[in-house]
Amino acid sequence: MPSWVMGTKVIYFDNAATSGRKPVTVSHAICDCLKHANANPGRSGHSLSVKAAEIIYSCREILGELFNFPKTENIVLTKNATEALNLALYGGLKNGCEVITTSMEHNSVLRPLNHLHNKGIIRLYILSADGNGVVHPKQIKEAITEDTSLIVVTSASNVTGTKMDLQGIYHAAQEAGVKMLVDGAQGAGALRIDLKETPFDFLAVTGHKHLFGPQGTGALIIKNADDLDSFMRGGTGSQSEMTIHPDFPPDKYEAGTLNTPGYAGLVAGIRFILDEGLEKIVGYEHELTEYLLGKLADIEEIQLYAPDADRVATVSFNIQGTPPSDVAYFLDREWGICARSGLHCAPEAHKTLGTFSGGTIRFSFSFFNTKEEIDSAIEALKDFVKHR
Amino acid sequence: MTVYAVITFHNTHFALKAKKVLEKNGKTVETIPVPREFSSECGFCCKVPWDERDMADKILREHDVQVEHIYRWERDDDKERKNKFTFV
Ligand SMILES: Cc1ncc(COP(=O)(O)O)c(C=O)c1O
Repeated sequence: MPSWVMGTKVIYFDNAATSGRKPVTVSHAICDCLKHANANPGRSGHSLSVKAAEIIYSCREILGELFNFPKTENIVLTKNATEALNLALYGGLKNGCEVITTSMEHNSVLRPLNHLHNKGIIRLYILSADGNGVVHPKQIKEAITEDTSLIVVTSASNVTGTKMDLQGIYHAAQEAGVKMLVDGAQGAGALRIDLKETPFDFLAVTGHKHLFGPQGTGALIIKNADDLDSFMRGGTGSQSEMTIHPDFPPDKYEAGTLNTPGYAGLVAGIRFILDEGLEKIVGYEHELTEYLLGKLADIEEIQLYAPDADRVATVSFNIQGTPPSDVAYFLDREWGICARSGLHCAPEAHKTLGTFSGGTIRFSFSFFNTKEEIDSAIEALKDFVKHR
Repeated sequence: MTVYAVITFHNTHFALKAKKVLEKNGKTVETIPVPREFSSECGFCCKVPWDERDMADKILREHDVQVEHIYRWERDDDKERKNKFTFV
């Protein structure tokens, strides 16, 4: 299905950054909230405030349904994955903690961790992925020492789309009694995450990517609220007689008025996923990805990264001898194809792939893309190769 | 005069969870602003008929809904105005 920008048809292949096309119910839900429930959630007892609080409640409830996590008070609403990750890291890591992570992580993991490391609060170990973007559970097992307290790992790379072996890593962490934080920014809505099966200690997700919500929405799901201190303190609408912050979740972690219209949209986005069926969405996106990979293989000048990865619908490549920014510029200006070039906020991943510092061109699909759009993109790439 | 049980919670999340759980179990529940006489809390709480308080308490416990307090609340319902507002 095409998108339109000022009357011009565009092909949107940047869904790993933000999903471009949303189900129509998402904008309707946001408008409905602004029209009919535009009050402060949980602060007052009047009917509109209750309606707003019901939206917040339903957002936790539907996130709980998607990830099979019934303890909904431990689903903390944040403005994005970055805030969720910062909450988990700054709220959980104490002086002297040792942390293991991977070279495939996004800067929203690497920067807070490096900040804590450089301040001398934690010791950080970054494990290198192989050429397919994979970090094996065995590597994690070998890196764990008796001082290790946390493993941080992405559900899928935002550069190569490589899925991490979350189950294998979880078992390695479990065996050693180490906690695990999963960056679910690229996995939530793009692969199955079941917290009953693999109960990670912390799962951070963002609303605006594969969950089809608007920007400004996200969540941190916490197995045990005793593990985590609050990160911000302020008004919650609860225990207003006290000038110290409540210590029960979710209030413990949510200071200040929440983005109620945004969460209304996120509820509609997740509702769409549950109604369509996650398996159907994942299956279709996989089909698109395989289709693209097949077509890319026909263009000799294309260098594909992580060629044998088991991946979500994200693919990185380059045209040999050409900066990726030139290709992205050409695709956008000449063909109306929105794709992202560069480092994708993941410098260590590009060092692993050997694409630092120019980066790659990245195509990332959603349920609303089509094979015809991929055909156009292939034609565009051939056009570029011929005329460069 | 009618007697109600006013059930208060630590936060609105549990108040709404309680409403949902109780309604699922066939109870009539209303969310109301926390009456001044019980608490200076700014949020809302659940109101059920006084006779149903034990049953409600049991159901909420079974569903891990943390109750703060259950108060007895006497109301002269005749005096309550029942205006209905709609916001568009
Ligand atoms: C793997 C990964 N983690 C975290 C993030 C951060 O997400 P957000 O910008 O919504 O906080 C992103 C997206 O840019 C990502 O791809």
